[in-house]
Amino acid sequence: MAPTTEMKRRTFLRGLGVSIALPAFESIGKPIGKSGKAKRFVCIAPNYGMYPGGFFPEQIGLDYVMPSLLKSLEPHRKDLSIFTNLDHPDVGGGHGCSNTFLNGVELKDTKDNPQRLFSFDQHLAEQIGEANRFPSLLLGAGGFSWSRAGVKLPTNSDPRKIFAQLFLDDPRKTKERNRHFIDEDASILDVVREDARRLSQRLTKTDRDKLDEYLTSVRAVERHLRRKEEWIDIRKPKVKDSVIKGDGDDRIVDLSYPYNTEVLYDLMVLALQTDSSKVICYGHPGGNRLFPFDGITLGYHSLTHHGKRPDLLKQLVVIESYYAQQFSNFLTKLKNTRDVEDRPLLDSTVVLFGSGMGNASSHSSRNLPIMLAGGGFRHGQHHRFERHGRDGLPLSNLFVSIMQQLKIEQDRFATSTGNLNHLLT
Amino acid sequence: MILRLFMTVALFSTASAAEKPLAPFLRAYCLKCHGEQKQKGDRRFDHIAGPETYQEILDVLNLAEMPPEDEKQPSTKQLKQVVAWLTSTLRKAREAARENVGKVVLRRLNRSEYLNTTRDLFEFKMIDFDPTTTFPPDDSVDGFNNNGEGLVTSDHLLRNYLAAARKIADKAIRPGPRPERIHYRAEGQEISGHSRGLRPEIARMTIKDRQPLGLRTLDKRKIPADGEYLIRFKALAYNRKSRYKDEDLRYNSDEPMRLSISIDSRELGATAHRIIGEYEIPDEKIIEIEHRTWLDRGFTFHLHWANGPNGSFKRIMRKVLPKYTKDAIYPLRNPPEMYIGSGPELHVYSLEIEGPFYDQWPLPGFARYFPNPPRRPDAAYLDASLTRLAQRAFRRPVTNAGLEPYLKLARQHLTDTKDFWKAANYGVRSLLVSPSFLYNPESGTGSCNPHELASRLSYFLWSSMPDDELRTHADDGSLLRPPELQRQVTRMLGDPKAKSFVSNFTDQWLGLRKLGEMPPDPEKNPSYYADNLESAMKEETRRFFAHLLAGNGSLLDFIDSDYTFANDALARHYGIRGIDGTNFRKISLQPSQHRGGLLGHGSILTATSNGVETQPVLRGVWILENLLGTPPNPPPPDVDPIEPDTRGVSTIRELMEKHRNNPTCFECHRKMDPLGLAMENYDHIGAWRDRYTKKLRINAKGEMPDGTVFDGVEGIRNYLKARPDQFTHCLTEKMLTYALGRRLAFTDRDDLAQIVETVARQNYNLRELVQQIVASEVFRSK
Amino acid sequence: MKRLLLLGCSLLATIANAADQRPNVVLIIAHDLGRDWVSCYESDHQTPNLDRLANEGVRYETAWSMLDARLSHDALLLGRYPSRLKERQPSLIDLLVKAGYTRINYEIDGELKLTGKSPYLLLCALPVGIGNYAGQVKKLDERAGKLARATADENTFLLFTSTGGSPVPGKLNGDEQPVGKRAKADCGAHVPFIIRAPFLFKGGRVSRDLTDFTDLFPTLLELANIEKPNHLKLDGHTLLPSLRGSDDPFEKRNWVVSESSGFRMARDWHHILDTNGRFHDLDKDPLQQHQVSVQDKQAPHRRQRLQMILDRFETNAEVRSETPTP
Repeated sequence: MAPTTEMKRRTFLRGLGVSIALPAFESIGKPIGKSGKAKRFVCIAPNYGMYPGGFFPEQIGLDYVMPSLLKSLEPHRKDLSIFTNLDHPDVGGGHGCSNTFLNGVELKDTKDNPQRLFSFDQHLAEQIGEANRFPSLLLGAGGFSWSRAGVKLPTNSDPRKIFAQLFLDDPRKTKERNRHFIDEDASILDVVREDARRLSQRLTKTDRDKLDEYLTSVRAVERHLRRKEEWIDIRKPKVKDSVIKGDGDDRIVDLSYPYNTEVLYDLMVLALQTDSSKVICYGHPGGNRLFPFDGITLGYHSLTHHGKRPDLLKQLVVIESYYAQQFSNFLTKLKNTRDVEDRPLLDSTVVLFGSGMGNASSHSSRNLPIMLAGGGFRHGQHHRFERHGRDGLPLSNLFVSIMQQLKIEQDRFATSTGNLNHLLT
Repeated sequence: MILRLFMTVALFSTASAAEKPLAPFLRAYCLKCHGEQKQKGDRRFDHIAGPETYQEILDVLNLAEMPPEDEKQPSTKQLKQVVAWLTSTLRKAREAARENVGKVVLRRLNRSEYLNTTRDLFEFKMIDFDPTTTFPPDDSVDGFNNNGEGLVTSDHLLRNYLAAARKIADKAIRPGPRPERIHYRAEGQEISGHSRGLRPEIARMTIKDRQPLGLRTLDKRKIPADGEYLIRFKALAYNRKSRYKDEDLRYNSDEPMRLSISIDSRELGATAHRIIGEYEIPDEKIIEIEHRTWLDRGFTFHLHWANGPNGSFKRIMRKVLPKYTKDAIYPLRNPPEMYIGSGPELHVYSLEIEGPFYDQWPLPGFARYFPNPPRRPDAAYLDASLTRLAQRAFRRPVTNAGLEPYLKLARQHLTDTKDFWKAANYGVRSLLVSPSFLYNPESGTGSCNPHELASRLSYFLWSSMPDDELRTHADDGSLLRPPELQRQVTRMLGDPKAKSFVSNFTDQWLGLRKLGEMPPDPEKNPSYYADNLESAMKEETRRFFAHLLAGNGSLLDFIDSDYTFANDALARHYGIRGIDGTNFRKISLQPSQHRGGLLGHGSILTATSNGVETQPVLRGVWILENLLGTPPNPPPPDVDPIEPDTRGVSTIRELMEKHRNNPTCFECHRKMDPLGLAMENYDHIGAWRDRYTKKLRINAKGEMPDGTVFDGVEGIRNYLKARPDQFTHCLTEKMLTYALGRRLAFTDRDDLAQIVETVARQNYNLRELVQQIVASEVFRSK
Repeated sequence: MKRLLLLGCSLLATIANAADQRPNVVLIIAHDLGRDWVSCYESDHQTPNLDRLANEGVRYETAWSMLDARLSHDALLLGRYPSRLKERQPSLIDLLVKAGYTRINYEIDGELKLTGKSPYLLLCALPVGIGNYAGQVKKLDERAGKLARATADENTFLLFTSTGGSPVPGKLNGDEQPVGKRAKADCGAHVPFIIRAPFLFKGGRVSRDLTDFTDLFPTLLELANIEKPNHLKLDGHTLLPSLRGSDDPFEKRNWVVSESSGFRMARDWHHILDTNGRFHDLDKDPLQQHQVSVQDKQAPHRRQRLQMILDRFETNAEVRSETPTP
């Protein structure tokens, strides 16, 4: 998997203490197609994080023992990096920290300036996703994707609706009607923009600022309508509906939670394979539901507050191992599926697994559970960073490396202080 | 922003003057914990951030919360001096600041206001029609989601506004002849659903297939037009008592079978599902039922077995069937012929729908803006109609010039399409996306003009636009006269639309929207679902509030009362006997029933639990925040929380004591824990209990930081009863925040205090509180 | 001893009294006539008399005989699957006669005398004669019709069925059928089965309930008010609930079995499985020509259940005939 030439070269670079992002053509021994860099980004986020005692390996480097929760990821060891002591320095504890996983800001601090909530995935969507039908796909429970205006973006968790959105063309009549609506809405926006400007003159400064949100939204919707118009006649990729409906005579797929996890992963593979979107986020929901697994007697949320009680931990591990297992299956599928350039999807897809919740039992936002897979990064290790007081290394440093791997020429994001290229490329 | 700016100018200079008594006082008693070294509770007083901080210091001194009793205490004289200084400084600052702080930020209609406003604008029967289901949820600020600051507009929302405007315009513009009637009918197995059955004349709901039954034709074509419809069906209860044991089927064979009718729309998702009627179906005898109801276009209806077997059919197939027949194979699927007919079933023989029927055509919400349309309506009629609409939609007088861009847009459409009604529809759409419709703009500062006041009032009490009467009083300016204002408040509180105030305010004040976030496990709390306790609990609390509001009741009843509201199921849940029937009614309470006041309401007790167990900390915080008005600080962000280790701990009390051993936690937890623990007699869904387990009695004793000792919820009630003004102050603060749609500022203190004082004088009358809020200076000024 | 005798006497008296109301029994057993020659079963060959009988009674869609005439008679009159007949046991006829039924002998095309012999038992075998099969079936239909008319009494139970499939292929719903006689398949056992019993139910019904030849015995014992002798073992299930139109599946059968020497098959409403492991979906594939689709997720479950039924039989039980053909 990792040819020696490449290894040597990297060792060499590291020896010099150089940390640079390798340009595409420099991936020497690895036959990863036209460009060595990643093109897509997927983020999987369990709302309550992962039980730290079962997530972080004890050893660092290549020869770590796969921790108990992640046993099912053993086959992907070489395509996986695990990090200890990454967190968001500005974020405090509490349930809110799950929602700021991808922007690294404290919710309470954004009252005056909600735009600061703009999240990493949406930033990527603007940078690499605009050429696709869906700049980003937000699935599952979500809650951690924030628009430029600082509004939490809605997600879709209904596999049938996701399938329709991705792969079912509207009938011609509907398309016609939608085209009309786009034209008409565009003209309405012209009028209301003028009206808002006139109204603005009557208002105080604070109110004018508030009305600016409206004007900004008008511009954003105009862009959105243009996009929609461009895509309206382009046919959606054709895909068999067996993923949501099952095969053969007995067409039943269990779409109820948590069994739909697998279905959503399948849909994600299809979306990536058909290049419907380059940025996908999938959040596992929180809540206190009772998982229909053997031995589970308490709700999910209650279990996360296990207080180290072994009986509760045992149950929590069942749930989180299930998530890990599904994630592992997803990686397998990405390996076995080819993208439009005929290389394994995993090679061109950066897959981030993690949560803004470090330890659900204490609502801590420190030491977040983070795994990275695919995307042409150099994997295989467990990296542990030093902790200075309450802070580890900013997670945003990893975000910077991800951006650069996606060919976004940017060296800062949120609270970043550098990048992790020296470890990953 | 403004606040900060002001503070530096007006107060910081004052504070830095060393001769003032505050600085030495802070140095002596406060800075040790709230200074450069430590910032307990995230508070730091060596650099004072602004008047809000002064207010805060004053409050904790007045409540004797600080300094903590184990720290050095100031003398009474010192205390008096500082308090007096703070009070007068703040008063001066308030007067100076009136112009600048405590201003309502331009308020957008929130989702429920938007919905109500469109309902009233077009006189929709907005029962099932809800164009806002895909709107993003509105953020709350200080607990309320009608706060201008939190009501952000995003592109996502604006796209939703565009789509909603289309739906609303389609519904509102209804010219032409009365829609034609439909009549769909199906019999037996033609009725859709999975009624595999042996007899074709019967559509069955069985122990396995309990999917709702509907009309296939209607499912495909949907309700063609809004209007009144007749739903008819014939049904029979079969085999109510069968060989299966009730516990195997999770079913109650003693009840007559009930069939309910739901209205739903797949397009609008699972939320758009509403039960409109429920009927008892007699045993082994066909009954014919006719139900008349308003239905919206695009909807369908279905029949459900309301009290059929519960739980998954897989369980019944796997675990139950093999118990009763040796020919069934476990755990596999057996042929349906083997069990259809073996257990209780609900049989439907025929199903039909007919309509729409109208009392009046054209519909009034259309005719009002498009009266007597000429045969060939022209641009002039279009202008006049849209202007009529804008006058109301914008909630203020509209000038032709201001409206011209909208009128022009519609006229252009008319020229392009030559279709008057399309152009009218388009014009309506544009008005509904206009900032004048979506926001409540108030121009300049000073007193509200009558139209601004009318809007404030109607969004406060109705969560909707002013009606014609209110508008008339705004148009002629009479609304500004206090007696008229008072008369309007009385009238508006009597209007059914005031229900919005009751539910929006009560739910948000008391945090009832948390209900359903952590729902109890259906397996272990079957009655919670079977009896629909969640909505019954909410209903209880809302009715309680509505009752006080309607009947001039005292708001101290919230603390304790000898009555509450319940239906049969809720009363059963509370262990109160003798209440029959599903309708809600006022019931009297004995103290031994433990249900007096809000603290006994299942809604609150469930909302402060996590579905599995109680959360005493949350309950404590809830009381501090919502009844006492002294919310504890959130856990400090810069302190890494200690991971709880609860091994070897058997009760929640021990668990919390372990937690409190940590000094960082102790400071606040000593205030909330005793309150929460005193409520331990209520379980996670608010049922009363004396013990956790057979062996383990509940210890509901607690001691507050001020030394008050109590045992159980009665103690909290007494604690609150001893502080009527503090509770009134808290409620007033909450209601004023809601009424104004903004965070309260320190400048509002005087108004607040005055309202509390007046209300206290009026026997703590809740209605008077509303009147006083509306009459206050702060409500009437921008 | 004396008291016991007395008790015995009074018991007999009760039976005698009840006997007055016991229904007459008429069993018309055709030989080798599959459904593919009977028009009420959607054959194109007209059998107006049987159709009329079906109209007056209940016609079973799914009734199984055994796989040859002799075994069919055994099952019908001894009430057991032939492979389970280990020792001699009284036949249905024995029990009915012992309980006071008058057996009426009837010769084909002879005169039928029924007066004063109530309750009576009439057993009539109707062979399909040699020669043109269609013509023979026509004749059979007429004879059956004549018998049915002659016994059309309110208090008479009449069964018309056949011992096995047709030797000459007919058509069902226009489709050519295979030779049914002795075929080790559904068509070998799937026979016409019509019961008329006006005292029990109104006619004109078609039943999808399952029945096989072991069911007649318990049915008639119940109708004739005869208590089952203790040592008597029966495999079948009374048809009375089904005849009365009960909706309760637990009162009815959910599988049927048919046998011949060294071979056995079982079916439910949709699927068939035999001891050679042949498994088919009869709804989609009535002639058992195709494999069940591997994508059919239900079928394995159905198969497993039928296997469970087959496993209840001894694998190598010898099948031999006990009674002479009546």
